[in-house]
Amino acid sequence: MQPADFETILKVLAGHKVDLVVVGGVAATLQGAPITTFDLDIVHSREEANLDRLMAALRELDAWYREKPDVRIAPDRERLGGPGHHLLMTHAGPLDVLGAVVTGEGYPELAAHSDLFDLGGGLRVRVLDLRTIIAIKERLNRETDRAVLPVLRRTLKEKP
Amino acid sequence: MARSRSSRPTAPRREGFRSWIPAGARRDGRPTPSLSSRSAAASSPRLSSAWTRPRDRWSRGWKSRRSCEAESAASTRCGSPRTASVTSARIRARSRRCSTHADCGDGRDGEGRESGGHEGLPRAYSAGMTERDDAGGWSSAPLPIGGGGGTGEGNDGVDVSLIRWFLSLSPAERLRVLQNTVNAISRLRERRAAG
Repeated sequence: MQPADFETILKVLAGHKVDLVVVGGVAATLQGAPITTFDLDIVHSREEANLDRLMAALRELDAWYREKPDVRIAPDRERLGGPGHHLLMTHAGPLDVLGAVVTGEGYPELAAHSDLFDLGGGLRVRVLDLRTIIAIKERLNRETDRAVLPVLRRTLKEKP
Repeated sequence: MARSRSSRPTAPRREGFRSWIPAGARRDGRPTPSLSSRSAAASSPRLSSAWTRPRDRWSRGWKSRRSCEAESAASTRCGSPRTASVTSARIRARSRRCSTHADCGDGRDGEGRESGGHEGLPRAYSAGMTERDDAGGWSSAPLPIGGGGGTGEGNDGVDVSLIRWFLSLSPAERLRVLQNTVNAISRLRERRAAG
């Protein structure tokens, strides 16, 4: 599988002015937790205008559902309007587009618990804060979440 | 008279040879780590975190060997002339405990005092700046290897010094470190797949 080029994907999404919150491992890393992840998870706003912008960005990224690489199904606007998870592959690597996180929160709820980060070159992204990442992982309580929780909790404790 | 095959002196079997070594001792005389301590280390939560820090001595030794080999080629540095004919074994032996060079990653200067590595970075992490970036040069992002020196590790096994170092970076630098890690792992996978 092609490795993710996080900056390229974020630049394309920002270039189309997509309203989104970065969640998951990349969010934790940007918030200062030294963990590794191989895909980018975003929760997008499901407002009509934003869905148009998201579709344009996904077209530019040449996105398709990575679960079925042989069929190469492109995401459609109607599905992106739901709360489901879209595990996509793009020419810049894997991208998970989430209508809502597993615990049910969508863009409006998560955006209220996010920070705006400047990643240089005019790239500004909204990133879920560490406290909320921990709260979500604690509620999910999956094995993968439990494995990373000590690092996240300690990072939160050390964070100025 | 021909001696029977069974009566010939033979080299001791492996089990027999091992039995000469006193229990709990290694050939170098140091005590062998107990099985429980080894298994505890293997199941340490640190290993499941993003960075699995290599054993300090080996990581330092690797870095030191590179420095020393470069020095061997250059012939002189730190006032200690060297020739390229130094055998790899001697280089290895020296790099394990290099007390001559401040920048070998050993963290000691010529007098054996603790010294810093790269300017502006914690010695523990700057000592291991060895990651190549995509452009083929050496990345400016420091890698958290070769550190230690008793820096804090919490009861939960989380490397606090690693977290403090990562928090000292800007978000853009954190993303670059993550990207370098992903790229490095992908390259290793490709190489392994290629045989």
